[in-house]
Amino acid sequence: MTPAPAIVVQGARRSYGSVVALDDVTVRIDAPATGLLGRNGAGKSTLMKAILGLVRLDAGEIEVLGQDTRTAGDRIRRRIGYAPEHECLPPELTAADLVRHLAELRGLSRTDAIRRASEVLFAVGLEEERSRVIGSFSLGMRQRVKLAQALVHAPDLIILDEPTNGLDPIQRSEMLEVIRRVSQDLGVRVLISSHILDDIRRTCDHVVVMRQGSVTLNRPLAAAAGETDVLRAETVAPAAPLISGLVAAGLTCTAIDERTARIAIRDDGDRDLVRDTAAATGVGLRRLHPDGPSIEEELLEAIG
Amino acid sequence: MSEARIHDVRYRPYEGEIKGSPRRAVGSMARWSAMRALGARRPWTAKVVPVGLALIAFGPAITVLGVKALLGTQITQQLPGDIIPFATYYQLIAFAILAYAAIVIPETMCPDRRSRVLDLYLSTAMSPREYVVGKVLASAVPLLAVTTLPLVFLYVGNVFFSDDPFGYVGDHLREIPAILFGGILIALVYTLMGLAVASLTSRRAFATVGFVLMLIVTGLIGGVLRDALNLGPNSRLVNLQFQPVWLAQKVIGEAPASIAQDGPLQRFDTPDTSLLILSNAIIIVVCVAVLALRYRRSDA
Repeated sequence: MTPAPAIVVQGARRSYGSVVALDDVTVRIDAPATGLLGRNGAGKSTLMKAILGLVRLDAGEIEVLGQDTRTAGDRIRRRIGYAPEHECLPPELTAADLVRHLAELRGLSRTDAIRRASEVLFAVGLEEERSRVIGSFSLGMRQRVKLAQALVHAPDLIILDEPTNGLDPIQRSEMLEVIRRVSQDLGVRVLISSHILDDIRRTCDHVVVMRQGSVTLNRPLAAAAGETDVLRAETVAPAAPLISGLVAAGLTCTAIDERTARIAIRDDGDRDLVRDTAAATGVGLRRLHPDGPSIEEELLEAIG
Repeated sequence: MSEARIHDVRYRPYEGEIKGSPRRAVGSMARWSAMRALGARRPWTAKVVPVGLALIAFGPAITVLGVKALLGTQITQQLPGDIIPFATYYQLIAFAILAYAAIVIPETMCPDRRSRVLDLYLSTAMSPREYVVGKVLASAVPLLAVTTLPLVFLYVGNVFFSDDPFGYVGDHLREIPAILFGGILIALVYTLMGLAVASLTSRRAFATVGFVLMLIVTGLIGGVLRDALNLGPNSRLVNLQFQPVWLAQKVIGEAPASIAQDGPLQRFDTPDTSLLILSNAIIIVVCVAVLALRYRRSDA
């Protein structure tokens, strides 16, 4: 049986007074790691809380792991781990005690909670510090505790709201590495929100961009890179020999006009092939540049 | 050559049983909250207040039984049968009970709002109602130890030092359920009052001050109505300080006038029993309503 998609949002609307937080959002999320990208106030956190069943929609519906958030909020939350954006850890508890406590709240027995707390704190790199009180932790360590508590009951999906918020570059890099490992090595589906493009590119396979409560872009990141790597070659002489040479070499290449060609490339090897074929056919290259917007440009335009 | 990699992250999918029962969530919340409020797994300074208040509550019983143990039965036989009647015991430990409600109970609830860990709790399958029930248990069970165990200790000690233990039990049989009922009533009412006040703020100090002010102000109003306006003992129903204590005393049996002559718990100066039952019921309902209002799932 095909497993249910992680998240299916259909026509979700939510307003707070005159502010529209979600405006007819329709999106399907099923990649191992999906990034929710957008400026502050774009509606990312509201969408995440709606996915958790903590925010009631004015209209529309959301299915998470095959269950409706309106009727099965508690069952859904039992299978999801969530790390809020804001500071939410009691400073007087140790990391191990907090994770244990939350494991018990999520239905694990006391014995299992102790074992799982140890496992997840090790997995996020906090084994040595597990007996220290959280109040003595750096911001980066506290973010890892939030991640550990979200993982403790082995959820099918974890939702991380701005997990790199406030971190310095080194802490941020380490956190992104841990998150990537969660989706790649631990096999847990991840939905991460951020307003930083680089965070999403480094951790996710798929991106959903939100602006003013609406989804403006929804695409796989890897495929996007393949699609946008289309080059436009402007030549000094007629481009026909170059086009013939590249087609013969297996590339997709079409003429735009007599001295301009569009070439689809897969990787840097193809880029070298264009250069070498131009040299071999004696067609001088005046200019070789991406054809159309790059992934960054496309994402930035969607973010607004 | 193979490019196999070994990742020792000591993490594996959990294959144990995940029980989604509310009882487990409530039990866990109650246990961890009570441990925190009582200072478990925290520095000794956090243990001083709860342990000190418990000792104060046991103080009169330890003193009475200590006197009996030291002076022997011949001398104690010359004293009244019960040096401290059970109904009067609450009067002696009222400070410890009220101080517990004012200081320890807010500790179970306020830090969750202050550190915003409440958001984390409610992102699990636990409902706000289960959270509140957990907090009530976390506060009431230790308070129950303060309101019940000293009297049980005194009762057992009295039996032990009695010339006729079986006769003592026979004479005081009715007091066993009364002690339990009184202890539960006092613990429940003061717990709900303490939690209702604590639910209004994220700062424990504010909750403590608010609780104390509430008792002082209603006590003053009750005093003015009774003494200055001569409205009679029922006017003291506005005084929230001793409502459950008065009712518990009525259930256990009136304190002898010779002992309670000048205290706030004089037998002839407490409101009617039926009105006390009503006022305690109203306090419980109002406190539950405040908690329900403060801890409703506001958005789902």
